[in-house]
Amino acid sequence: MRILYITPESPLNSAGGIGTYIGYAVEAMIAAGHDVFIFTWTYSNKPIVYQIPFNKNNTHVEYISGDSIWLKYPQGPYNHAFSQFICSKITEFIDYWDIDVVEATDYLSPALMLFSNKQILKNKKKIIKSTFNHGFIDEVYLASHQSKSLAVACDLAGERQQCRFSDIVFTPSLNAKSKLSKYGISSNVELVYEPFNFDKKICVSDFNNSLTHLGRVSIAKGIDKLILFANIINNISPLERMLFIGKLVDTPFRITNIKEYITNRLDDSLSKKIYFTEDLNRDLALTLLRPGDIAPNFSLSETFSYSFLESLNYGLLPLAECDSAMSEFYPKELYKYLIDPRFININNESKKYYEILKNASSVCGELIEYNEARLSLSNYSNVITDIYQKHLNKSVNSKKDKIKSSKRKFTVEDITILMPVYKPSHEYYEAIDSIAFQTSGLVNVLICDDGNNNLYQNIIEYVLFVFPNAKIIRQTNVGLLCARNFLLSECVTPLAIFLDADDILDPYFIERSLSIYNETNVNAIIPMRYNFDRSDEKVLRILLADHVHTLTNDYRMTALIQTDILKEIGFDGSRRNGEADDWIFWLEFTLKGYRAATINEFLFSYRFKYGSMSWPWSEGQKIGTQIMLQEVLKKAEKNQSFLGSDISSVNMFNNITN
Amino acid sequence: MTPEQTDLLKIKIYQIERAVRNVRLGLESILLEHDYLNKRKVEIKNSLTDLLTSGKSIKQRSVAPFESFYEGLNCSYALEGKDNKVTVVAHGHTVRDSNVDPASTLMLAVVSDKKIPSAWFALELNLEKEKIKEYDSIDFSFSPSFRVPENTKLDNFKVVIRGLRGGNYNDYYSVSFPSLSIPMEFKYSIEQTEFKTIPFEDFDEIKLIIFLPSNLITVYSFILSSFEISGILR
Repeated sequence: MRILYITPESPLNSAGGIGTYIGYAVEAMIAAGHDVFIFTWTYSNKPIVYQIPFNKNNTHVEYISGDSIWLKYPQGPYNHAFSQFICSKITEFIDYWDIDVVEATDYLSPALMLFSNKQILKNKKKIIKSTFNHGFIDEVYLASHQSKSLAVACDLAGERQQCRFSDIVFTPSLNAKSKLSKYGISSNVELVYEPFNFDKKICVSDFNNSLTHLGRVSIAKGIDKLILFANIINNISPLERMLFIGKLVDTPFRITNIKEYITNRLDDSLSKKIYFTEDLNRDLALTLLRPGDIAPNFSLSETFSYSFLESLNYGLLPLAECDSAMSEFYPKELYKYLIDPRFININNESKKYYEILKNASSVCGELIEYNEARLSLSNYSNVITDIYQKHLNKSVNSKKDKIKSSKRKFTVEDITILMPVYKPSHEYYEAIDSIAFQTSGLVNVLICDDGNNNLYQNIIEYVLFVFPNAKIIRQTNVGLLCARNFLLSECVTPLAIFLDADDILDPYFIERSLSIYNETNVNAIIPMRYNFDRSDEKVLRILLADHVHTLTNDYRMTALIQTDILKEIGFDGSRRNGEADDWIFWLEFTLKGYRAATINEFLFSYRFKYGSMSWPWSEGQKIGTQIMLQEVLKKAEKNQSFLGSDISSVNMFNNITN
Repeated sequence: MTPEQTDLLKIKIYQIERAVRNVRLGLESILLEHDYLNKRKVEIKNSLTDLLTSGKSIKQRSVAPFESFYEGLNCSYALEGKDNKVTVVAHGHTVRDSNVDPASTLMLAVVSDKKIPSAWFALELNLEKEKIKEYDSIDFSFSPSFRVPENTKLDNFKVVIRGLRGGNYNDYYSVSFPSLSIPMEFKYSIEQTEFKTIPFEDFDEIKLIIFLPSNLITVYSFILSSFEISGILR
């Protein structure tokens, strides 16, 4: 198997757990006989020094300047832009290295745009798209007690979307698996423990009453609980030392300096026993681990913890809370030593501590014994190879593919462009010309003349010069949404595309959409949008089927959509003020269980000009849209969840935007 | 197709275009006369329209940043990056002994330096300040198309009105358009309310600048076959 890892971190440019994971994973998969490749990047000009097993033949380092990404996609969001920026480059290497399986990290969604392609094909053979779930940054925000703007929320939705677009999502603990399920990501999830090599297994018979924290010193890493814990045990038996190994991160509270925050809250008697190392590289940090120390790990957002395992390997006793990812390193017999995350009975927790301290040496031995085999590199490579192989076999011979091959191939004759027209100007000609120049050939065109006078009717009839078979239907002026419903009632083809009378289709719009529609089992194909006229924005977000889509509009109606679904959902004809009907449509589309594929090419130009329906957005439009949204959310509440996501995640925001 | 057949085809196309254009202009002027009485929309002379309706050819050549290749017309791009390059060529079409008006097509081939790509490439047209400020509003129409390598999508291109004095400038009415591989006639207007906000007296020069797509590594051509400015006099 030829496996490509897409990751910002590796032992070549390590910053944390992801780099550690990649180091072990690559070693394990090479040992299992696979060909392993790595695509990584750096923002530094300093050349990365290759080290075995990463060499120039199996490693590509992309030297990236953040400026060039902002220059190309000035409106962001940054992670989406980055993923679009490197998408074609990764594709080049997939071809060059003849890859079978791609495994990307979920961290900041680098493979979002690559995976948004419904299928990545190589010589007509499907490539497996997988994501290793190291934990969503959204969870880190929560654990850090930090708020985030809507723009950041949109950007971070990419991590979840990349998982949803993946054939397989590997998750390293049951705790992480349940977090994924909170976002409706479950059907493609496989539990695979990250590999670890217990190469030291330092045994200590006497343990110190000293605490060591390894990892970033931050609220997210459970510093509050560590302080509480230290004070409880110090009260009974004075601690000898507290060592914090890791980068210091400001707090979101009144005392922002984490050193001051910790010192202020720890018992005064500890003030001269606290040591901070600040940021160190991994190798140096490990040398500071003192065998016989206690290493509590109360991190709030962890999906897996190398710090826990490194501490254990170096002869420290790692502690964990019940139900945390770290608790899964404890065998059942040792559950009695897990700390209550809510510290309801302080006496109990201190008793537990002294109990475990008494038996520390044997507990460490049991922990190593329990974890050594199941986290071994060979176990990791066996489990993950089996899963990949299963998917590769499936992709060659799957039932789905058989269904696809028997699915009727749709042609341009199956598509109708539906265009409501009211008081057209020269822009209408541009819209019509853009239909005429489709590389797919001529499609059906159906125009709704929404009560125009004679002068405008003459303009509308331009369509007949270009498409002699175009049909113009007329109604008294009842507005855009009634016109859309009228067009749908007259549409006889199985597929339709709405196009506003001032927007422009790229010449490849229909050819590309149709091709993807014929290859996949989705109900709609959505292109990326390029705003033009008084705006110049590449709209990069992909929010469909994520709960953040309830907070901001993301799509227009110009997409290839099954006509029966358009008819089923329809439009609220009573709305006449340019409310975000497209937003409501796509939310309902998702709620009804329909699925769309995105084409990550800018095939639709959306005119953005002063005086159009969407600029400026009036107070009335905003409130009208909110009322429509409430109706959609009511339907979601009936199902207990929205789009598979925990509805409570949605309540973190108070603003919605169009 | 023989060169003679190509010429004949060109003649027919130009005749049709010309006839349609004349009928349209005739009708529009009648309608406008009716609507605006003395405030008639009139064509505004400029170098780009002059070139594209001249039938003149310009031999293919590279042009340096800000070097004029036709009176009132120049290209601009960054001075850094030795491989940044714009090549200009214009093909003139004239039909001898006929009433067909001459016409020219302008093509700019844009190449970016791979190491230091120019942040912009532009076609700049000088406008006569004293004349342009006499208008209440102006309309532009033009027919661009882009020749690009297969599977390449260009960024939008932009048009701005730029006022310059000394080394300083201000841009007005920036509007962007999709860079399509098909010929598309675009039209846009700067209405009275916006046009009167341009402080012409503050500037020595007024330019209309077409900022071409600034794709960093793509080689592409920009083709312009018609360009017109018209306006309504104050």
